[in-house]
Amino acid sequence: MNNLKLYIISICAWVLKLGNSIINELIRFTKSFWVNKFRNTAKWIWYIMRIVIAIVVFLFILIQGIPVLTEFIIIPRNAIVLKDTALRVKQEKIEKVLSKDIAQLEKKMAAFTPKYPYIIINTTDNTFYVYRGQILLRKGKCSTGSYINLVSDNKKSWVFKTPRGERRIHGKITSPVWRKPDWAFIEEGIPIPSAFHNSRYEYGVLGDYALSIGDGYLIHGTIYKRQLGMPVTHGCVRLNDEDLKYVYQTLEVGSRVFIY
Amino acid sequence: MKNKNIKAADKRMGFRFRHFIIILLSVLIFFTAVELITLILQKGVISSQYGQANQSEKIDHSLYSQEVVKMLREKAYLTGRIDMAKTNGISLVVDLEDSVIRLELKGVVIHKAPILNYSKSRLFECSDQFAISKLLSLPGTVISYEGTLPKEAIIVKIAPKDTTEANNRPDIAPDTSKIEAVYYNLKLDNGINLHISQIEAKSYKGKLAGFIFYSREYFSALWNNTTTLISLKRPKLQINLWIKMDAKDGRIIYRSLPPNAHVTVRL
Repeated sequence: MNNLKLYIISICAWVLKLGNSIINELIRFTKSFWVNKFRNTAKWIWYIMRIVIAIVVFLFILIQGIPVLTEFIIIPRNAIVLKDTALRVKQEKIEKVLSKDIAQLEKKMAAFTPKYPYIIINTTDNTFYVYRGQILLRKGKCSTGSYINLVSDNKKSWVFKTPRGERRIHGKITSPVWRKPDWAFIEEGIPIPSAFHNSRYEYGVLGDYALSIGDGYLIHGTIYKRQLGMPVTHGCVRLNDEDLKYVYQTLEVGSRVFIY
Repeated sequence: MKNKNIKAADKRMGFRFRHFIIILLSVLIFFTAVELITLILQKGVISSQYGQANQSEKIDHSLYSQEVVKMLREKAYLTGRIDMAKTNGISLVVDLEDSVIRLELKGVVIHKAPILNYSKSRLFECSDQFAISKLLSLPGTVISYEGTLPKEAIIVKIAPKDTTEANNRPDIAPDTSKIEAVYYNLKLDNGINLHISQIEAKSYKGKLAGFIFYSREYFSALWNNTTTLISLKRPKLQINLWIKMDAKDGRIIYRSLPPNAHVTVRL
């Protein structure tokens, strides 16, 4: 039995030894082949790689490391907190004055928000919000200026954008009629008619109501309801029928319009 | 003989590489020194411009409890907002305490967006707190906008010659808002640099645009600091604030702000 064990162990050792020598021979052959064949190329590749790695590490330290390192070298100095009772009394006095000032300023700040309904129009997202004070009454989609710069043959140009800033409702109109300006004809490739020509008037395209916000800009309805939420208008603000009716009924002449 | 030549070439290569590394290290040390000196000088600029040296009535430093400093900042923030409410333009309020960024027009909050992540220059913490409160009490004015997206996405359209040409053209301009990377800087006249970026660009193109934008900004600032120091001038005050927010909100804020918008910051 013991002899058999010894016999098996010696066979295993012989197999391992043979395997090891084969592997070593293979490694030696591969190494010598590569080293002799591509010695110089490999060396150059490694040289260039080292330079590239060094440059990448350099840029990383330059862009990421230096700002962090320099910022952390400056040691923060926190405000002094003292336990001296006499000083604490003085500090409390200052705190009292400051808290009074802050309360007054907060009151002043709150007074800026209108108490009556007002509308906020977001021209980037093409949404609108109707508020009363801090309370949101209604929100929805709208369409605002397309930011198209129309250039005509005679080098005249128009930029179709909704003006940003604060405006007020100047007037409220029912069943508005659109009097087409010159650019509406130029945009369609139609010759411009005379100032009061019949073709200048379009009925029913502005919805049931319109609210004037000055300088010819209106908040009105649209027949292109699928385009709501997109910047497609010539500067006016388009709403859908239900939202327009709500805005018409809620806002008064003089109500504030905030466009951003 | 051949072996000798190879060994000599190897030695030369190693020598050149060592020189190259030494040069890179020297450049790194130089720029670290430049940045460090700039920061120390800028710390001095804050104290000299906004510190007690400029005040007619000097306040005892010991009176600054953390509560007083906090209240001074709150007062500065509210004063700044009230000053901005008196102007006609849209202004920006960066509220780091509540992690909210707001657009205000005549004191009315017209847009509110959460700040998803932010970091601020340590100059805010390690400088004279009275000076920092003073710096923040007046709203800053934006002196330059730089970003990866256009401020006004204007599309030029040449008028059609006739109705046939007009009918063949698409009515709606292409919506580029979903592919625009949102990375921009607002430089304020009081030295604050507001870096606003989207939380994470979904596309590699967006990420690359952000990386290129910030690297360009960083190298430009580094170059300016170096030239200022070499010419023995005092560097301009620059305190950085990095804000990450939703791309949609970032875009709304960038497009809404007028050229000389006012900005107030609450720490």
